[in-house]
Amino acid sequence: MTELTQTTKSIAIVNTQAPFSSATGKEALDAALIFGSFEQAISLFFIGDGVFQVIGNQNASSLETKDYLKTFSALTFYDIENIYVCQQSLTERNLPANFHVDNIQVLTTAEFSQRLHSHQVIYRF
Amino acid sequence: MQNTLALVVTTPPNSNLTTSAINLVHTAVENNIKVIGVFFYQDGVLNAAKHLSIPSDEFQTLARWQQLRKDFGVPLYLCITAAEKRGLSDELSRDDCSNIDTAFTVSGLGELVELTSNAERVVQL
Amino acid sequence: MAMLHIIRNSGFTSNTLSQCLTMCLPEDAILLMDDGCYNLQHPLLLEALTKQTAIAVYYVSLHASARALHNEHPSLTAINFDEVLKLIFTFDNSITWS
Repeated sequence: MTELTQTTKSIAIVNTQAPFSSATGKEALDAALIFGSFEQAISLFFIGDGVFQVIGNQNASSLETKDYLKTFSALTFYDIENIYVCQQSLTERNLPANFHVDNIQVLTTAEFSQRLHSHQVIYRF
Repeated sequence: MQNTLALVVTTPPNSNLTTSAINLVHTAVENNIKVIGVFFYQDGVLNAAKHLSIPSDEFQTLARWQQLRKDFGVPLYLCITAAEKRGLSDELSRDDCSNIDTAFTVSGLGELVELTSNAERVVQL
Repeated sequence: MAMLHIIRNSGFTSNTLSQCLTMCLPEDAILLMDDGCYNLQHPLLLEALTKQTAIAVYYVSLHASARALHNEHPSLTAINFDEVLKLIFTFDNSITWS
């Protein structure tokens, strides 16, 4: 692969889908890890049903699917430490702030929006 | 100075959303915007299926992508990991054994990192 | 940074419109494309127009007229693809809700 020729940008990956019925969550995480491996400044956002991806005590393997949720533990390996969850989305779904991913910051809608706005490129999955 | 744009296409060839993406790329080229690449990810990779057979009275998605590649020099990058999961393969590398159209460049998520870094604006469609 | 929110599906079947509206800041703009044009008469969008007067809403006129959709609200601006590209380069970043 060729060397990157320009300075790195801040990139946000916004997750809005629940984890299992579609490959969207896994494909978003794959993209995040590649950006991380190229030492790009990347942040992960979880809003709406996307918050179901980071909730603790899930058992994907019982659904005969690859447990890609375990791959979230690789985020720290790539220094991806900006991980944000929308408080309102948790509240609407009656979910506790109990996560299987480290370094999660729960933000109010206003904080979440402001943080998102500070990124130069935004991919939504 | 010429503006540069990269696009990420995630919709399949039989969707009118893809028609909009093609028209946006076409309009960009007409407006002297340099489209440095279109990256096909998720179900968007199906646009590269060589044997796609669309009735002649319907919108010819593949022919339009080929036109953007051949007449306007717009690079079309295919995420091979996402493609292989959807039945597309270049494994035997000989053209007649691949079911990927030759207008598309087989690549990986690293190319998305490159495009994201180099384009002034990135739009996901 | 000012963000362009591109909405491509109907707020009557998906919550993308409401999610987009919660993320919008006053300097942002909304662009309705494809099925996003069905939101031209969506109560949430009309309500947002009265509340957040600063938010500009654009829609692709071809996509709206093809769907027999019209809204003469003064805060809504019909545009073509040339102007869509101008918006993309005017705003600092974009997010696609689809």
